[in-house]
Amino acid sequence: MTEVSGLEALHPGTLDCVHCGMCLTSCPTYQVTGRETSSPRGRVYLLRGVAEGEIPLAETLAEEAYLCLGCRACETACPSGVAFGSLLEQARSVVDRAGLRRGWAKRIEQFALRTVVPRPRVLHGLLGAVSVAQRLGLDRLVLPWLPRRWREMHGLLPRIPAASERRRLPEVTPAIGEQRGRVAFFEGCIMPEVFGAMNRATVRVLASQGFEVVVPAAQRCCGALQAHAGELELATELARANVIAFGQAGAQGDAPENAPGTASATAPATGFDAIVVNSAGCGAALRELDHWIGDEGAPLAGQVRDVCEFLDQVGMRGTPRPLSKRVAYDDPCHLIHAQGVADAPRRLLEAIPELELVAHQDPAGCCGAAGIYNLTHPEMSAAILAKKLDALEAARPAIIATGNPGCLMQLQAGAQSRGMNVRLAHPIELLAETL
Amino acid sequence: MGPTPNPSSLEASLRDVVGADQVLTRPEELFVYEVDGLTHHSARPRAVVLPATTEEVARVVKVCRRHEVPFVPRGAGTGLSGGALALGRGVIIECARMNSILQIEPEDRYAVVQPGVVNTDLSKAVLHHGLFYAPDPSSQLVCTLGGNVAENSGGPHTLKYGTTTDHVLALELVLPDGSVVRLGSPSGWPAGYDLVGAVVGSEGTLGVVTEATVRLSPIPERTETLLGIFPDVVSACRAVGAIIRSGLVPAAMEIVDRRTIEAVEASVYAAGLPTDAGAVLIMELDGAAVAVGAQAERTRALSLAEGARDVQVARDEQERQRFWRARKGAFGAMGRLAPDLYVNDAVVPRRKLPEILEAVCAIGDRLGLRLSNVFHAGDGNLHPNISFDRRDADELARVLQAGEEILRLCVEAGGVISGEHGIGTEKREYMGLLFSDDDLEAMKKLRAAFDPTLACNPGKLFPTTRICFEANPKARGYDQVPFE
Amino acid sequence: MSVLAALARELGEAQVGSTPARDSSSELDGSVRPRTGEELATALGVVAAARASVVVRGGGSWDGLGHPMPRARILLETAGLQSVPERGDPEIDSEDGVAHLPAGASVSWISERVRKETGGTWELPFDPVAPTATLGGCLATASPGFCFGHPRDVVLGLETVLATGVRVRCGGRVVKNVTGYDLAKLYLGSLGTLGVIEAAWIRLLPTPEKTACWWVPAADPSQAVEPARRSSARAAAWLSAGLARELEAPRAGMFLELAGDAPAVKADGDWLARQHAAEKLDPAGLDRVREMRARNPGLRVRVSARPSALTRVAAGLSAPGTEILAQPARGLLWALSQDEAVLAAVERSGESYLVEAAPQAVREARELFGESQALRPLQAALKAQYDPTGVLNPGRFAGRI
Repeated sequence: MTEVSGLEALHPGTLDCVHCGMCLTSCPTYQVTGRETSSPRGRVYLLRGVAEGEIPLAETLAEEAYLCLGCRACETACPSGVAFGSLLEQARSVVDRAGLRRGWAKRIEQFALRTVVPRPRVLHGLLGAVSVAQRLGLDRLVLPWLPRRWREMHGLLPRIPAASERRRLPEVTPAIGEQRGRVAFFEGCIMPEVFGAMNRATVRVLASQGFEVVVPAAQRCCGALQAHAGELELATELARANVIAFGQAGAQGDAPENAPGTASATAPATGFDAIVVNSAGCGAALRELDHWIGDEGAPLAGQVRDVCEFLDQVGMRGTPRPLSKRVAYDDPCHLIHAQGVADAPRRLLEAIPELELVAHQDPAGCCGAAGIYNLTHPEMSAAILAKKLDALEAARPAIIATGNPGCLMQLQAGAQSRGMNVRLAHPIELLAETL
Repeated sequence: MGPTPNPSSLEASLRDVVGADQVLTRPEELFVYEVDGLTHHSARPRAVVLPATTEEVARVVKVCRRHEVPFVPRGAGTGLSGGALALGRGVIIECARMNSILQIEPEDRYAVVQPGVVNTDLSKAVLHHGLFYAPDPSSQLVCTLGGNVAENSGGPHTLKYGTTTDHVLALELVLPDGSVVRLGSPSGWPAGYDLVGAVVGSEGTLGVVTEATVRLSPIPERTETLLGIFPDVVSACRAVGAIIRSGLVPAAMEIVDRRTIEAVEASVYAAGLPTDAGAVLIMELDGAAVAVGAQAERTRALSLAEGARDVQVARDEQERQRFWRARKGAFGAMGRLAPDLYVNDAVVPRRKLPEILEAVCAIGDRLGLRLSNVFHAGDGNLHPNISFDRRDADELARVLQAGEEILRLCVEAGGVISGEHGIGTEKREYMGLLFSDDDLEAMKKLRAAFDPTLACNPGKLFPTTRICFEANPKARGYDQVPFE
Repeated sequence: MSVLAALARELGEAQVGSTPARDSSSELDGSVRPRTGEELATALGVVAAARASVVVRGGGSWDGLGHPMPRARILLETAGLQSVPERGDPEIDSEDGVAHLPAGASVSWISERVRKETGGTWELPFDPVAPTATLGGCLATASPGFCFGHPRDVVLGLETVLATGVRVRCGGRVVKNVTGYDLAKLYLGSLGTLGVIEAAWIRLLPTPEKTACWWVPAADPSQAVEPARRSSARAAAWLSAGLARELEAPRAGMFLELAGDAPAVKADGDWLARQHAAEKLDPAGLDRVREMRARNPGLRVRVSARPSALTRVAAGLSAPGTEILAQPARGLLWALSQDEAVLAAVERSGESYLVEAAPQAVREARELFGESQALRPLQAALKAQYDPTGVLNPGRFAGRI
């Protein structure tokens, strides 16, 4: 065994792999490279080899640990139950601690993940500046002077809404009509800044369905991006903060009334019927909080529901207004593979009169966004995105619906660059429009 | 092997052919290519090359020849007999990047594919023509057609549709001297020797297949799936015999035994099977809409007559999927019982199934192993699965002993030692159970005609003492594997 | 001592004939007729040791196939091979639907025996050009008929004797097998040039519940493809107008035999009547069609082409006095003619072909196996491996190997 810490801990997880290879074609990077090293099976084998001291902890593992998108499609494909997502986080942590990750990608990532994302005010200020620059066209002015990588990144940057659009949600939104229960809403760190309208739509739909919606002010970033990047300490810190924030907010309110049709008939662990999330990435992380902080995270983790999953479970009241559009639904990896939610969004969309839900060839494949992967691995990301866009383009949708902000940005940028005449939307926005 | 030529020149020449980033030579990269789907044999390659065209493959082969280094084609590495291991520090020619479907001819019912095309992707691509590619190995979601051609892969539906060899019309092959030949034609019926038939199933020892022309079959008008619940595996086997004897040709007949049902029902693959059943038999009939219903009824009656407790007929696609889930989840469910899973593969005359099954289970029990059976009963193709922990040297020894005893048993019953996984490195020392030295010499003549210097995938198929395995580094205890 | 004398000493006088004869391929000094695999091995060992060569013959229905063999002066008759290794008697396993059969037995004899021993459940899936054809001959020529597919689909294992007199086997009795190289494929259709088949394991087919014969009008073979692909279609023969007249049909069309479960046969028959104005025919028509396929008007050429190309190929071959037969679903076509121009026309078609019957002068003068020249070195290498001294049918096969 090598002495690098963390390897002993991850070794048992690698033994679950029986090397059948059923994961290969589910893996976006394997699809592009055709290399065993860039496949889930190969990566597990690498990890095992390093843990057992057969091969050195060297650049191949470092590269592969970050070339992996963490989409976890391999977990869905794995008959043998390998917890790949968890192995990946541990592997990245090992790689980082061994000092194997250097260069610009690491520096940008660290700045973003340590300094910007977890600090709402820094994020708000920075994006405010970007918003102004975009409005004045300053960004296009300086673009030619920037290094190539920065120019590429610019293409991915969505239009940042004005400050008025980027305000926080009210702490409590009352239920409309007969109250069915009380839920907490996890608003995320980037969501309010870039997708504020989507957050407001989520709260509006939940309220319209008879749920009081509480948005705890003390909540913080979910820590997913940090954990995926191997920054496990920071992720742990954020996780603990959220456990406290939601625990306290839940305790302050009245106990739910358990009216017929509520989400939970037993006393909920956090004092809410559910903690509703509309970002698949955040939802997946919160659901697995106990992996990072143990039992302490279990009550919160056990109550997390994706918004579509939640609405599908409790059942929508009334009939939506018609929306006469062709809609292609695309599964976010962290919803289908990490949370196992695939049918609920489709059922909700199909229930909208006149809406034509069209199938496409690659619904469960990664789009290449994967947090900030499109910034750190632009070429691989573009190759993966191209495959996804080919499939979507062939289905000729008027709207592409998907439930994760990273995917929305990536697909938006991709669709734009191809000149596709298509609107990107979260399913919850379509539901809000048909209330 | 003779003295190694200057290592840098081989790698440099390979890079000249395919580009620097398509040649893998780092020790860690080579490490992951040391095994395929059979984990208890390993051999580390000297380099891995990922060509994109036939011409590149041909040039890679020539480079290998010039440097006197052996080479082996590899698809998805899901083979279960060690066929894709690079023995003798050879070069692996990884065909995954050659994954285009080059041509689809719905009218003449064939398609031309590169070797890296995934089995199910072809069926998906021709679905809208009402056609499919019939051979369906259990790994069809990931395994490549090139690998299927090399191993003559089977699957549950070979009972009616035949194995890969019945569906390959023509091949483009890079011969071991680097020349390129086209064998067969889309119309079939060659005038000269049936070279396509000789190459399919040759386990990658006659050259590198760079293109395959395969037959497409019409999707049957109607499919009926039945689930027979039996008190024991012997009565299920008897039902299979009765159905075969009656002249019915089901598309598939698969048996899942009690031990597997227990494992499946305790796992995430639970299909709602009665855990007190001794075995279930999944039967599928397909064909003309007007005939299939009556065939299903005859099948049902025969199963009941042989002692089935109940025979259910799937009412819809969802139920059909549920019946198959027990079969398809078996591998994963057994895989979760222990860190390792050994899937054996042998064939016996179908009427011998009842007695053989009993004897196979007895071997497992006597050796104290977790052995279960999920198999292509209609073909007489057994797959005893043994869950074990490779770190337990004693258990490993018993697994290998059980494997050998099962093969001997099947051969004595008039069977053979592989129905669809191939011989590879796994069973090469057992070829003598079935074939005389003269028989093997006759096979070597075919090899010699294609590959006189034995450069292409050496060390497979034939008993040999010339090429050494490296003990699998991750599988301590595997040095006991009875080869060398 | 002459080869024939040596053979007589080893096998007994009764198994050796020493009357000189001339057959369609060679000047023969005499013949040998082994009765078992051992005798066959002994005979080939004697011939090989003497550096002599044999012409291998089963029922004799394909004597004129392939190039003449001036070097071969002994006729090896396989019709005496009436036993299978170990067991001796043919084995017909009605439970498994497989049979172990000797090469020398005639197909009609085996078919009858299979029918009897299995109570009519199974049948032997061969459709030879003549009822006297032996199983070994059917396998060695792998000659397609109208009714069943290629023998490669049903051969599970073979016992053969190599040119050196060594008995070997490949495959086995089970229906699924990847143990070792699939050498059976190589021997099938090799015209006895790589080894002599002693016995074979054959997969039997279930006897259909019902059969029905139809005449399907079709002006060209491509039009006949769809009906010939109906799920119960078994024997299909498209006939040009001249041949169609022999079945009392006014114009070109297809003889089609449906076989299978009664409802499927009925449904397909109804479909044929509705969609193609097909009419029912007497089943005896199948024998007439078989006779046409075996006919030798001077030249008979088999062409293998994609089904969609059959019409083009047929048009290119049609000339006064040339008649065409085709199995449209399998992409097979035969041209029957007296006119040697048909050979040039076949060449022009660009498809793979085999001249099945031709006058001696043609067989001596031109290549009869129409396929890629690029394969010649590989085929020659195979011949050199399996029969290095040219014991078996030397010069008969593609490229005169």
